[in-house]
Amino acid sequence: MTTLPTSTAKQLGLLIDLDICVGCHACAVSCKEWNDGGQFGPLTDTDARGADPLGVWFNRVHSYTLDLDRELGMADSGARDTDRDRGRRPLPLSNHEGSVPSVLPLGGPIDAEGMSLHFPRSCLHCANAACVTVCPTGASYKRAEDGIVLVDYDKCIGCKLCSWACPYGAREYDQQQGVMKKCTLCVDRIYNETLAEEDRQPACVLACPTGARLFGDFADPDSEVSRKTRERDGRDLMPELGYAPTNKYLPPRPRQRCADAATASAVPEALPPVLRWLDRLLSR
Amino acid sequence: MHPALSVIAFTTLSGAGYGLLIWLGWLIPFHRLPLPAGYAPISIVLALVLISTGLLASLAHLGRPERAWRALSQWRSSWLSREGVLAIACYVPAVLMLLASFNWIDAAHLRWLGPLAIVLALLTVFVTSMIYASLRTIPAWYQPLVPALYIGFALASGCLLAVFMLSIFVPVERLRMPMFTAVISNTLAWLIQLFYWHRLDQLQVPRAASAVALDATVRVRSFEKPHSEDSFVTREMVFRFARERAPRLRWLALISGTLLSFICIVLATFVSARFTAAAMLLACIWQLLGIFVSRWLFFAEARHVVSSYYEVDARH
Repeated sequence: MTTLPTSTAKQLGLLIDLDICVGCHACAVSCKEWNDGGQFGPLTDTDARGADPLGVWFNRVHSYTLDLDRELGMADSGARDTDRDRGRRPLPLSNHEGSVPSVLPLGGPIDAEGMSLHFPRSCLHCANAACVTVCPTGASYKRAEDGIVLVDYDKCIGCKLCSWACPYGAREYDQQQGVMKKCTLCVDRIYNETLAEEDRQPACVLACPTGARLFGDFADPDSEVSRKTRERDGRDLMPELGYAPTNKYLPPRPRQRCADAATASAVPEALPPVLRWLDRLLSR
Repeated sequence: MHPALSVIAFTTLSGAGYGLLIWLGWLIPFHRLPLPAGYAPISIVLALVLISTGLLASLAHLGRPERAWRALSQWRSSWLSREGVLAIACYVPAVLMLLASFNWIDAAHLRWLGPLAIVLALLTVFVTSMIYASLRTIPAWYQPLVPALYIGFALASGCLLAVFMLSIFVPVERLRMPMFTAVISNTLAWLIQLFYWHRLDQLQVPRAASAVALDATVRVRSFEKPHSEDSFVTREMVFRFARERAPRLRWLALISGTLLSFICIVLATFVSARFTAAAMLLACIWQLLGIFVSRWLFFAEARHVVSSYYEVDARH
């Protein structure tokens, strides 16, 4: 049935830390490897090693350069606060001169030109998943017990409407099998009792070398994912569309300028004159 | 959005078929002058052929067409499922009308079969348009103007087809009023289209910063794509359409759908009686061509929000 459950007992999902993701694509590769086998495989490719390869992947890692949009930063700073759904206070930025505004919004700590952001994109297992409700066959469904959004590959007719309904490009069509495929949150791993307990996690989480991906239950306020989401202003992607995604993203932390940090530690103003002289002497 | 030929053919042809059925549902039972013998059955067959061709074209774009029957099950939540159910339901009054027009069943039944066909055909076109108008991911489509556009074009193309069929049977003197109706309905449809294009040009779409959970003051530019070649998502939803070509195609659609079609209607009143129907057929073809181009643009110009992840050099 393609109506959504009103609420789910658990809200299993991923917390992705954009501060420490280095864009290595290990999540994407290990996801492809597991899901090519597993209970939901294969994930087919066409012309895999040819000139025009096309294949199904559940993780796609984008790499972006971030700059402060000066025009927008100046013009919109007043107006934007009114349509904010969550109260985000501007963060004062010290030691900064020039034409850049004196305050920068949290989550946009872009105090250097060309900061890089690596952005892994996968299914967010939305609470308000339109990909499920548009499905004409009942092949797409959201599990009431843990909120995982799945496709029954035996019922899918391959109309592709669910991929149109997803804002995040999470669903990819399998050309060879004629059905739509998507991230299963490794449902065949996380409950799999043949695996060691520490391995009952999504493949992408286990593969991440920097620990930028956390798997957990967002319905439990004491879980690590919920706690970190609260502490570090975990965010929804495109919240204005109202899909209420389960997966959250932690924005990059405000960057400190190395030069400022070095100067600050080099002149400890609070010390008495003798010790300051000694400090200068020893730092030579 | 990638403008798939099968879906464009489906919406244009079945739209014209349902439009024709709507006009026939009124003309056949309620027209004040008796209709020429043979008009009703041939016209109903034409409507059914157009509808069926469109529906078959839509089946062609499925990955597993043999499972299409499953699409009838989720009518409570899915507009696409509702479309399937109504499309099939619409065959019932249409086929019964055909039987009544052959006098195989009592023609008196047409008094309720006609209105039933009108209601079901209108609903089908509306529900088809809602498949698109319900998608928040495509801001261009997520507006009430889309059902108006689909219904407008269905009525306009159906009306002109009804008049063309009439021109085969009756002299041009009796076509003045029907022709006038066709011109008015077509003009109204294209006015809705112009209004839609006007709205499209002013549309606000989610910015790339929002797509990657950053504040709107951050400018996001891609320096490395997630995949070296195309993916399903970029092929299907990130359709690269040269926006500077859009105005020319809009003019092409508008001129073909209105001016060229109207010239043929005017010609039909002047040429010798032998060529009246041919001129009216040309009017239909020009109009359908215009609608076809406008429907192509409906897809090609509609920007899916997932493009925010890929087209992040421009200021969206």
